[in-house]
Amino acid sequence: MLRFTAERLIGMMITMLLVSIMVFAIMEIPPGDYADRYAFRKYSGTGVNVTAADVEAIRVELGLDRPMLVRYFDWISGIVLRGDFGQAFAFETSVTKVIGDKVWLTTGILFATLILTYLISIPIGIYAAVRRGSAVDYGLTAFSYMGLALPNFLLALVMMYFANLWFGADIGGLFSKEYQNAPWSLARVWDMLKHLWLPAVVLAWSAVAYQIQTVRATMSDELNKLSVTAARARGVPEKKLLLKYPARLAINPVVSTIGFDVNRIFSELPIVAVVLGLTELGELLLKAYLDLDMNVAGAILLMLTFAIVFMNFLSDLLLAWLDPRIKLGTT
Amino acid sequence: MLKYYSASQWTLIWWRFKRHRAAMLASLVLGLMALAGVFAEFVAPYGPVARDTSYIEGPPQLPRFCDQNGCSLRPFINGSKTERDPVTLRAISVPDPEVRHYIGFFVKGDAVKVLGFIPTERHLIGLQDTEQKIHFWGTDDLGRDVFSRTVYATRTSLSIGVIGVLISFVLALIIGGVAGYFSGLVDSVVQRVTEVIRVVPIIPLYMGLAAAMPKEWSTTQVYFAMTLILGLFGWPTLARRIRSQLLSIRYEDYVVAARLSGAKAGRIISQHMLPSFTSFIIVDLVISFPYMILSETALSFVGLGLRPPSVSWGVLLQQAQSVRAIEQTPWLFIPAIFVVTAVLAFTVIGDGLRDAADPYAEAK
Amino acid sequence: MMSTILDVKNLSLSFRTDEGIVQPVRNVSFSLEKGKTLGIVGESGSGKSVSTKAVMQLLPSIASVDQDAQINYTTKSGEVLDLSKISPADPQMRKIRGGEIGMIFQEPMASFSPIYSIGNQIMEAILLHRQVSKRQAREIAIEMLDKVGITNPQVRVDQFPHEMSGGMRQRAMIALALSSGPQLLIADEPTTALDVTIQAQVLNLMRDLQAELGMSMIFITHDLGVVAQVADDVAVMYQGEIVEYGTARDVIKSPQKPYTQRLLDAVPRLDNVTPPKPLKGARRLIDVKNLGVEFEVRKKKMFRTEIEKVRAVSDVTFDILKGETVGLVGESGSGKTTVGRAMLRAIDPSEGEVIFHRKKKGDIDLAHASEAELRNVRAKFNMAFPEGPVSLQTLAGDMLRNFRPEMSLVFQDPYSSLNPRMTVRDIIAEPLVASGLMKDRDAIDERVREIAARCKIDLEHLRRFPHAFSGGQRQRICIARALVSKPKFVVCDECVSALDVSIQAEIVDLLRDIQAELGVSFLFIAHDLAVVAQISHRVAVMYHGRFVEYGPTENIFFNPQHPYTKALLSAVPHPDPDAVFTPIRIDGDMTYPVAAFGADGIQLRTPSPQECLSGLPIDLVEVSPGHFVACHIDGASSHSQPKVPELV
Repeated sequence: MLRFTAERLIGMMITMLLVSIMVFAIMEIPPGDYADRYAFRKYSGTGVNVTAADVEAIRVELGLDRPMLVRYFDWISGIVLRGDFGQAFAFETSVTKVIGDKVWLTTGILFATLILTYLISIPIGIYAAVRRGSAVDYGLTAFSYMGLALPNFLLALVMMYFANLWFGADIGGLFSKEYQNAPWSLARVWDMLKHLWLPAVVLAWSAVAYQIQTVRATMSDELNKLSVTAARARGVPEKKLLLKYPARLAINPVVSTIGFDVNRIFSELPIVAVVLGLTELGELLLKAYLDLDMNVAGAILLMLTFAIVFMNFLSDLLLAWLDPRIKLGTT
Repeated sequence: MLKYYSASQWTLIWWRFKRHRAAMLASLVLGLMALAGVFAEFVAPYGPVARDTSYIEGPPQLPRFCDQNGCSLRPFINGSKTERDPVTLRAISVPDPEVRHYIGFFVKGDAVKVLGFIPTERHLIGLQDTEQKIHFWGTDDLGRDVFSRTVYATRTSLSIGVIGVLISFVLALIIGGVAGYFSGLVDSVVQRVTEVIRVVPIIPLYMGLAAAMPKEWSTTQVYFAMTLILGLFGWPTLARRIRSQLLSIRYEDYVVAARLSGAKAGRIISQHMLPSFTSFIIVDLVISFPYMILSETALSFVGLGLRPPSVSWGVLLQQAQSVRAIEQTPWLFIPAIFVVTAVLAFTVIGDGLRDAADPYAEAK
Repeated sequence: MMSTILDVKNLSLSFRTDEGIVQPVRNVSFSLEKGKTLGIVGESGSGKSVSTKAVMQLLPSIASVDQDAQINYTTKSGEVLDLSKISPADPQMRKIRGGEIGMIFQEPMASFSPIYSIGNQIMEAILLHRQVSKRQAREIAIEMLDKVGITNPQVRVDQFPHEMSGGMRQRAMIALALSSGPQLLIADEPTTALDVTIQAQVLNLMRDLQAELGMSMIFITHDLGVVAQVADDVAVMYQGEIVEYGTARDVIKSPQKPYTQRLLDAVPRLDNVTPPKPLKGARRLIDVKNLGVEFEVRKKKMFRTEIEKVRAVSDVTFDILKGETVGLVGESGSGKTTVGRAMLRAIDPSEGEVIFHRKKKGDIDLAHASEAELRNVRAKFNMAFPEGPVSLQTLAGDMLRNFRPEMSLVFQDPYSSLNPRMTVRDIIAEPLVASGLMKDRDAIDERVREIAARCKIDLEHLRRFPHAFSGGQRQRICIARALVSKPKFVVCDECVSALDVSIQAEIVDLLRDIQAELGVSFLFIAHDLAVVAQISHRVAVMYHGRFVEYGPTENIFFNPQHPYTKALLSAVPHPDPDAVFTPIRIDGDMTYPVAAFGADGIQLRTPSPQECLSGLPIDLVEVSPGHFVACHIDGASSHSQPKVPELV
């Protein structure tokens, strides 16, 4: 197990390294560089005539004239060694400051969504497989189609509309007005939890649809296995049998796709955040993209991806622990 | 039974697919959508940016057969007149029950070129009185006809999906094929790169690339850039599937048998491997459409994809971003129905095809 | 004092399928007495397995037991229950399953759940049916594992199914079924997936345990030899009905019904076989010299893939004559398939030579030929084809010359080896088309029709696709494909193993007829010794990648010299209730005999325990003309020259 963990850990590091290169490349794509944008932002509308020499001076000042490789190492070492993601141009402060506690808000949303997803999809998927061909099963299939087809922003709008109708106006966002900029306190956390369910439901929607299908399919396969018949033949009561044998195995594919779920949630997050007015990383990411503030955008993209890679690593470990065949390498 | 015994793969797949009623229905719906998109100029009564200043943010006008003055066999709509809202004193249009405008097919309208080269003045549907306009699904804040815009948007959104899927398919075929064929080091490298791309959340990734498109680009440039972005990063899942399919088919007994028959590599691939493989690839292609369509819609929705004056489903939905819109102009959400329908249709067809794709599964 | 434990009357089952209601079992009645064994024999699809599943209420949800059926079961306490009337959810049924009736299945791997240890699953059965604590249950489990002959049960009890070998898993399954103390054991093809030596051990084990525990048993199998060894009574099933029912002796020795007679006639019997005589004067077609195959097993490590070499075949030397069949037998993993494939260059041998003798164009070394040369050999072998009434006169000139891919393969699985997307005609024609031998469609059609007729394929069927055919028909198509290019040499790799006995017999006859007509040589690979004995002129026995014995079929089967061959032969159950079944057991690594060369010929002896022979080379020694045995050569007697196979 130790060896397995070490192997996966190194694999994770390699992936993270490659990811960081890719993210850096994306940060470099927009035409022009920060010097242009910085000059434009600083002097536009002031009537000052900016010359190429001025921009060049800014470029040298910011160190943007150095080769790409040097800048990459500068950037990544800042992140790894000092937790420094560079300057946020649009906000004229450091990226770290701009991001602030939004990391924790995002983490909160992520885990609320994941927990909700698994709480719903695993039992329902198992039930649907056991009651194959029943009305419930067909209903769930129809639901999961909708889960895949309904764009999340639309769902968010509809949910907002009904939430407004039923619970009053103060439902969007992550906090009530009075807590929006308040320092952290128990009351603020409680307020956040009260607002968390809406984004969690919206984000869990498609993940639930997807996972129900996965659980149902694996469960159906497992139900037909000879080992289940064999257990039945030795007199194991049906309920215990279902839980101990097929259901236990039906969880494995869910565990192995935790990373995908996180990926899907983060993928939907920016758009859902805009609609629901969530002040967290996704929304900030979108804002940064629109402003072409690539330092902020890159930092967030890197954080989200690292989180996914890390969850993949955790899911590998969890799976190895759940399934004795994996760590022995005899799948 | 004899018919069954001498039925080829595609015939068997078709028989099985036909049994899947939902998939047949979905194919029909999708076919109609595609037709409407292809012949948008003819189907839509008006152009995508034509404005009707006399009917701004107007609700849908439903064809009727009866009004207070009696019934008619020909559908018509009542005319409208401008009145002042008694409370806000804003100018609003209200139906005028005294005036009837009859609806007709193949009516004369603006001169357009269908498919860009067939000139016509006729449109599939419209009012016989060419001076008057009908807005089946209402108008937006600039008085543009939602129905016409949706028809044009269908063309854009579906075509982006098709081109995006094709690009990623070609890439997937090359990359997955190379990985599956060479195996070893090449395979390891390709696998690692694929994994890195798969691990980055896709919409934020698309957004980053879309954000980089220069603001001064024309709508056409943006359109092609979007298809490229969707296509260039849509391949990893497909490539993985192709690779594993290739690897598993390579060791099938019948492929070994072909090799021992003296067949050359080209013949083995084209005669033995590809035919068993295409049906699965088609399924994968069909089920990757929804992701393309949803991605385009999402990007355009937040302003990072296509930009006005282009019309796509996502662009149209930009106007419906708030709860206020649901309350006041719900008809602006009609394009969303198209998104959902198209995605559902592709998913259902994909399911039907998946069931049909291996017609030999149960025969064994 | 005999008492009936199970009495099944008029059992009929209905399955609701897409094609309507199907009755896989009709009016089946049988009964079983305490302490006795009932064997149910039948070919695939005869309904033998589902009818016992009905007893346990383990039928799929689409099945229903017909109303007038009775399954009267006498419990341990003497109560008589009609199991067909009890619902599966009834707690009474739970007690019967496992507690009263135990069951073991064909696939020992699949019948254990992979995620729990063996002990966990055995203890589950014990705790369900016996009033014991967890600790006691564990002790019982260990005791049972010990009883079924699993060494080191204290460790094994915590192992997972995938850490055990197939034979061990089936032993563990028996331990599981018996641990909750059933009085009836239903065994559904329990030894079919096992090698013959392992099968013999498991059969003996079951027999011993049955005697010890006074248990009754229902033994379902397709193998008449197995049933003759274990059963007191036999029921023969055919298409859902019992066609003959009686004591094992009566049914097997004097079958009354035509189906049973046909079945018994079709079974190849090692105790009653006349193997073909060795060929005399035939020219040598293929020489295999010191063939060795290594596989590279890739182990994915972090940064590199470690390549481990595994020897599948080492130092195999033999020859095949024109028109001869050489049988290759051995258990799974012995390397017999690898030898066949290496000779066809389906895999590349890592050492040795495979020489194909040609009359006119000289020899070719298949082991070293380039890909292009090989294709040339397969495609354009231009030599005369002297034997057999082949209608060569219908073809002319170049066509005739380009007509001979020389070797081909018949696969084991007739389902996976036919491309489901091609018509039968295209499948059979493929070797002609693919190799570029024939281009003219009409000529190809004619050839395909000719070979199809010879393989007894209905010409009407050529337009159909493989999904229209059963296993036996498919195998005919495979054979037709293998022969269409008029090869000189065909490898039949377990080509009858997947088929029912009656069909097996037809295919074997077909191969023999074709050989007589066309003079083709076969390498016949099989694990079923009796089939091999029927068809082979000479036989080679393989073990762990080596030939351990090789020679005329009669010598090998009736005068085996090597301990492994003896063990293998003793493990075959004969379809004769009177035959003595005393399989020789090989534990651990097999020791090779030592050959000493004296004045009066070659003597083989078992090495004494003190002799350390593990490092010594193993040679094939000719003990009688053409009969070779793998031995260590006694150094003390080396003044006389050992006779190893001469191949010139």
